[in-house]
Amino acid sequence: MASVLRTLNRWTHRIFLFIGEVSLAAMIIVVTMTVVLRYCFNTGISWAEEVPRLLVTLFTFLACAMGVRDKTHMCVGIIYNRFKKDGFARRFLEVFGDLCVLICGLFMLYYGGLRCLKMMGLSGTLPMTGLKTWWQFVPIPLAGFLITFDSILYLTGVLKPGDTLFSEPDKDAAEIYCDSIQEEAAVADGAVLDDQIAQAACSIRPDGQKKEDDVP
Amino acid sequence: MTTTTLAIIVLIGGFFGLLMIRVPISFAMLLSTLATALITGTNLTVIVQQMISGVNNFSLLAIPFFILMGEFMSEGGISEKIVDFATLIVGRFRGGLAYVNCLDSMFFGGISGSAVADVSSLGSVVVPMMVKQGYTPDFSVGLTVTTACQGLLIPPSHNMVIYALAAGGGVTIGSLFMAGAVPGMLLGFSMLLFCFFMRKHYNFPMGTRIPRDQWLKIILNAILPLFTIVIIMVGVAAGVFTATESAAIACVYAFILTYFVFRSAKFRNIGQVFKRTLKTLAIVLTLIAVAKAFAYMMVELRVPDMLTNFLVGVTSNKYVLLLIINLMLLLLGCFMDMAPLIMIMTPILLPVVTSPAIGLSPIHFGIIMIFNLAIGLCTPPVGSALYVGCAVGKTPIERTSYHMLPMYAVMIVALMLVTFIPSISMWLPTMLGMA
Repeated sequence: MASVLRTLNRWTHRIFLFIGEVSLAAMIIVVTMTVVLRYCFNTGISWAEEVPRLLVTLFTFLACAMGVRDKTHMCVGIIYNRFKKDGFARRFLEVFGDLCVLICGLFMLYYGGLRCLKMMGLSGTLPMTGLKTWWQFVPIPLAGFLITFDSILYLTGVLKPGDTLFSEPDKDAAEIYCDSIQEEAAVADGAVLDDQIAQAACSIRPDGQKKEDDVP
Repeated sequence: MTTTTLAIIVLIGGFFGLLMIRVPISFAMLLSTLATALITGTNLTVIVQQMISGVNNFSLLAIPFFILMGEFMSEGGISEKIVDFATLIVGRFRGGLAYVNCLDSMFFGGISGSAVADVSSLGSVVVPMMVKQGYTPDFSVGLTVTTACQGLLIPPSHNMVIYALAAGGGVTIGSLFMAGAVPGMLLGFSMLLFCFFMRKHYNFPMGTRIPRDQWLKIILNAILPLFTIVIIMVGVAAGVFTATESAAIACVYAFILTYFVFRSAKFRNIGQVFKRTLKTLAIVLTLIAVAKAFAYMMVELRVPDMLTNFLVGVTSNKYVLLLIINLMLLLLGCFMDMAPLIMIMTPILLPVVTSPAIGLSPIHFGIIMIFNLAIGLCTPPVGSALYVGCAVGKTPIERTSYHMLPMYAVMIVALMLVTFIPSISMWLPTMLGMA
């Protein structure tokens, strides 16, 4: 069951990643074409502003969902980083974070869907493309669905924090710094990483203090 | 306790509370907004409407374009070309590499618009060179990190686009770009002067002279990437295209340069470039969407008005008020990243600084805010540029930041000049009729 869910999740995201990449490329092409047409042919495209706006809305919410999948959204780890790696406190904060994201996903799915349904009942259309106005709200429930799906998989342990799809497991600047110090220690120690040195390096807090109990 | 007071506590306290326990910033913002909406009885579909209106904006397109442009340039390995060009100009003097460090950040900042990208790309080239020549690793890292902040002020800077969006319709991206150019260069020249006056104190080594036969190649290699700045600055200033259009053109130009002119990147890796762009955009664009709803709630609760009244009640002196605001931004910048702070603090502080008590131009304030938050990127405990710099130079943060104290002082002096002499920021946009 878990592997089926993982496969389903992977393919859903791959499709949306493809849509996101195409949207980004299409936005650039349309805007560049507008400039070229204006200066070279003295003409323009009537939908040149409306379509990129729709695409950027779609792109934003798809990127938001992909950020949840690969845990690339920006976090402040001042308190989290002070707890022991793999300890209960860190695990608790991770689960709490996933729960918060799940609530946001459910909100986007339900209220975004509600907004779409409400707009469907209205007769308004977008001025240039003639599309119904509810189309511009579709990205929110779509992203809500993906965020809910991902959060549930993370909470149930089907997906693990390092199990990324689009990128290397995300590290904040502090972690990158810690890793570089560990690498340095490994080189100094004849390419064999001494756990104690690495622990000591990473026990240096960003504020410059050293944790006394962590010094080997 | 009134409902409004409770709502404000939940909105601001809830946001910072969730933030501190590692809930992603965008979702912490959305959750506190939702909780406040439930308290005030606001219809939750209004929050959805606000999120959409936050990103359904043509100017917003400039952000993905600028970020993708920076990724294309990084993929093409322009850092070495820029460093060679800067070495050609100032590398021959005593302490040449220190000057090169200041100058290449100015050039690279005009291409990438990101301090962290600047530190990681240029730092990995310049820092080892400086250490090899005899500069201390702490000085080399410190100088790289501080000079990288120019990238946030010298156009293009996607943070300026974020500020323009957060400020509403009153500020154009083009005018912000023009306003940032002189303060960015001021910071760069301040660091150059600092290196010049401290050359004996730090005992800088002699520079290296580039042979004449290499000059032309180096100039040609650097001039093509640097033409990006011309496309954006001249294009926007002359009214040839809008800031968004200039971003798209610059992006296409960077693509052609990397894949067809220099041929320094492989086509099969283009998917990775798009993925890296998407990763950055996931953070920035989500934040913009959610911050719009957050700002809506703050305005509903009249938080900016309350802050204005409070600050004006403390003192009516314009300069003291500006100092308080600078201090507030510097402190916040030490703990939080730039984009979320711009989105949160702009709707709160803009009414304060544009009120008759201070009477600042929104363009000038944008530059002050970005300058303050740029300093925050170089300071512990949360300074992503400092962390990346220390990772590149393999130096401990506490020691490097101690050695950076004189550089922080130079940055603060430059910030004060930008804050209290409006013409530094406003001269160029005023001259071009953009302010």
